[in-house]
Amino acid sequence: MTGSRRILNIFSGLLLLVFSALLFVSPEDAIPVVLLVIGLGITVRGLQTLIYYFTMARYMVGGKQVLYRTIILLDFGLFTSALSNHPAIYIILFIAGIHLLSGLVTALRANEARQEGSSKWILTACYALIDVFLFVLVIYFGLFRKSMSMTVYIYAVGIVNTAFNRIRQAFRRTAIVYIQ
Amino acid sequence: MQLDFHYYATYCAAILAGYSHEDSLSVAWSAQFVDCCSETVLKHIDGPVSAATTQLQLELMDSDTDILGLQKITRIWASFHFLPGDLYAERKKCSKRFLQKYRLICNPNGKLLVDTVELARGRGMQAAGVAMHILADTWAHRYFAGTPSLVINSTNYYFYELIPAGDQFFERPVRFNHNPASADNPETGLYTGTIQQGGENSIMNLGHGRAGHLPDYSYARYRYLPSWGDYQEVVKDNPSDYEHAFRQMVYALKSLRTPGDRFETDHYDDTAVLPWLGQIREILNRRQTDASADWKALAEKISGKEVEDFNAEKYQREYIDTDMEHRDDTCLGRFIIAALSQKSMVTNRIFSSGNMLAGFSVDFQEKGFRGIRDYRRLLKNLQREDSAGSEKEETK
Repeated sequence: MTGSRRILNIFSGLLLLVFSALLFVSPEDAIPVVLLVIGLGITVRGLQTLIYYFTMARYMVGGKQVLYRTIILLDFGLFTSALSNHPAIYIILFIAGIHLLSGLVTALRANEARQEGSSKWILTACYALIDVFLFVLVIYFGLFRKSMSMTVYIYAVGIVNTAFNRIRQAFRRTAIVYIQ
Repeated sequence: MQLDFHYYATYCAAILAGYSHEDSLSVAWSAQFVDCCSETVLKHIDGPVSAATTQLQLELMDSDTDILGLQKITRIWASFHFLPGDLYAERKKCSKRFLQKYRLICNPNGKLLVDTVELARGRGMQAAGVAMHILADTWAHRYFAGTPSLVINSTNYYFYELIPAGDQFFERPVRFNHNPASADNPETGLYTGTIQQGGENSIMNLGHGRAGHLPDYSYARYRYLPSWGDYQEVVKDNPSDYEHAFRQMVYALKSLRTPGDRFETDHYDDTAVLPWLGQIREILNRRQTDASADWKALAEKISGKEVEDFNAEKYQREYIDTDMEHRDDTCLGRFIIAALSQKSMVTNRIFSSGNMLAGFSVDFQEKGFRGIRDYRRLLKNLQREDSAGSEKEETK
């Protein structure tokens, strides 16, 4: 990993930690910011995929599929950003939906790992269960207890996890292969 | 390629190249062990994990696909199973990022193959075996790259098997399922391949995973659209490629035991192979997913000796029981040094071509050690070789 990449990882990790701290401090006011960040995240991902299409995928057989994926991602990103003007119910459903989807995908991966005989399937299954649990929490507190704070806290915990992963990656040792 | 070719056919090639039965077994064992020497095995024998020549499916599933993880995967697979054909290949109208992956596409008779065979010269049977594995795989795995890449290694529904029928061939669409537990069926044309993954660096897009084991079967002929191929179909003729691989192995092994000789590309042995060519072609063309029994029978016929079955654990006890100081002199120790040496060389060539996909390569004489400790073993061995060479000169 190059030095600049490490610095970028640490910087983005710290930025995410600060953002999550703000969410914990003022959860109720943070909803529009959360949606803006999610929308921005998906839009950036869409732009990254667009760059990938122009630099890589357009030279491959069937590369147009990547372009279609890009359009969907950009649309989804813009849609998410626009949600901030809508009632809280949509926001709750949106965050809950993200966790449910993530949980289902992780569960499928865990099942695949189990079929392969990997011991890591238990850990992956735990991640899936956590996602489903978070989905239930968001629905319960958001829809039945009408508490937006819990929804934001759950989102903030996810951000903290991502931040620590970025920082951890930055400190991984680079393997240097020697030659004489 | 699988055990049938890497072990039994390599044994046949060594015998035909003039090696003794014992030496041929050592060459063949080392050639096949390249497919077994994973980090898991190395940890088990307390060996250097940097010498891993393969990754188990589970290791791959558990490996990170960040930059460092991808470089590690590329070092292993490009060095031992998908030797790049041309690290300076050009392609019009494409980005630098695409070109870097494109240049890792495996092909036979590349400059790196010369370096690989020459690296094994004078370094014993284990190094020769490692080189033979790599050489053979350049034929079987051509058109795929030893790095995860959607834009290079992906295939699509346009995939047809060419099945011989008398003097002609008929075509049958190849159907891929994605259940790794299911066996390939040459009769129905149902094969196992990795699942389509949209991520550029997904493990599913490593090597020939998307084409399943078809490149590993000597009987297979097929045409398909490689994702890098600009909609030009590729026809893969495995029986012909495998025959070239075999004849090139005999030539390379002969070259390795000839003092002062130098391996050249596009050279194939004719004389030693010719008497057995009919039988070899028969084995290569037989529609079976494992030709070990046929190759073993031929091997015993050629050498007149019994050829033992491959046993991955054959030299492990000797390695474990030897003290640290002398481990590199055991059979497995020499294999490990050969593996480190090959990985070091290929990583350096890729790095020197301006391509960072396999990571950094540093001249340890200039920079000293800062990275992987395992490579100290390689340095120690090279120093030993140097001092042995100097002593020889002085004696002369």
